[in-house]
Amino acid sequence: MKPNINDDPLKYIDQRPVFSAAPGVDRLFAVCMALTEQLAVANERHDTLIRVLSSKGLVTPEELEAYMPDATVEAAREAQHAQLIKRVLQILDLEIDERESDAS
Amino acid sequence: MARNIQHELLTTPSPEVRARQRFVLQFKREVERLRRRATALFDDDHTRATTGQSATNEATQAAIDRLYADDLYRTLSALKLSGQHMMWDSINAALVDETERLSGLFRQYAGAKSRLGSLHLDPALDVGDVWRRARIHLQPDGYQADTAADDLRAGALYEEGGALYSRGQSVGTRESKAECAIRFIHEWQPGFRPTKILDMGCSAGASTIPYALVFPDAVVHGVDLFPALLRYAHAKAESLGAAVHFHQANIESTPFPAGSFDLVVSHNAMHEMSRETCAAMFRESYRLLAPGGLCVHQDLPVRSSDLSPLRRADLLYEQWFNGELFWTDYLDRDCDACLDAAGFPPAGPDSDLRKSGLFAQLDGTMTWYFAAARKPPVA
Repeated sequence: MKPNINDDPLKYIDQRPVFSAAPGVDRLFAVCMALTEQLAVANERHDTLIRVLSSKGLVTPEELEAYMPDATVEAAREAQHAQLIKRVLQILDLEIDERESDAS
Repeated sequence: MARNIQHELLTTPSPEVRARQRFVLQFKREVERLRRRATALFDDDHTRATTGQSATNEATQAAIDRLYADDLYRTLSALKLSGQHMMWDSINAALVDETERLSGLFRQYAGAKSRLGSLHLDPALDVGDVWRRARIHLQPDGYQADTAADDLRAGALYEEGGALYSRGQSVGTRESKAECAIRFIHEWQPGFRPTKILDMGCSAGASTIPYALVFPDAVVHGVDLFPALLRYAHAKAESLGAAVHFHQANIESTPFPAGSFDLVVSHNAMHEMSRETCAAMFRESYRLLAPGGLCVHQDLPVRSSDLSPLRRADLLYEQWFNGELFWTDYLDRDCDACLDAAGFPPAGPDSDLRKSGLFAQLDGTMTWYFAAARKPPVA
């Protein structure tokens, strides 16, 4: 990327700029940050649960460690993981969408 | 009334979406800190030799070439861009579930017999090619998005984006931009009490509404190009009990007769317009003011002449990659000279007819630039 001071300000409006020498590196940054965002969300939820449950005296850390999910819970968790992966890899989906609409 | 006042048009994000918004604020803040550090590296090995050098286009281009040849700077640029997209994604995630509620509120307020203000849209208004394509701050679909007669999504994105940004910067937590301008006016012209006020380029009404609340006896109007921003502004004003009349019109040639107002303002609008539009806005301000009326245009206090080539090169990111189309144009512009050209008397040592300069917010979080002048009273 070699921006010029005289570049048209609208030059990058319709296409996402690529800063790295290889476009895949920019995508990787976006993927990593989406992933980190999901980790932050999960951390908050985990923190909320521990605080609410402990304040009511309902659980101990040992009970949380010993918990085993049943089949229904397993399925729900798999669905959550699928959703998480979709969001983390969203930038690739969006690019494919764009290429498809360009091709049509 | 602080910038981040609560009102019923704001979304109520789920805990997950709130977590995403909290995260993205911290992420953007950290990326800015890292960018400042990375840019400073070039101050040591490059611009030390250019200390005192003005930011000519040639010197700025040399700084651009050095910055964008650096892998660390480019990495941080990619992260900055991701942060902006993630911010809009997190705002949009809250909005998706509430679009119908917001449109319903608009229909309710716009159709109410007891409404305080009004909304005047002009579907025939041509915003021009630049505004049809623009994405200021990369806002999804831009300010110009308008899909239905009750579509106010662009206004909601604008409001929620602004609130989140301000929270990240801790700006306006005690005083809105409009309240800061009102204090500026009070210190300049004690006792001045406007009766007819116009906000030019009012967007979603965040700065228009405080005028109606602070001066309840005044008639307040706002003008902007974009219908979905104005619908949001109208619903928000009604919801907050503020009587404001919003108009879809070009600030270069508004539908009001000459001498209609005694206070014409704009807030953070000058950097979103070309120098030609800005000059026309000042001419229109002069035309619209009654003798003795005030024109007070507020915006960011950044001037090219104060910047090193490196700082100017770094700021150009905003123009190229954050949709700030008129950034360089604004940095190079002499807004005070626009007042001269519009017909306002030049500043004099004993004159109270001109008050352009810097003015700090009450909480000290921000200093604004004001281009301000008074139309001479009739002798």
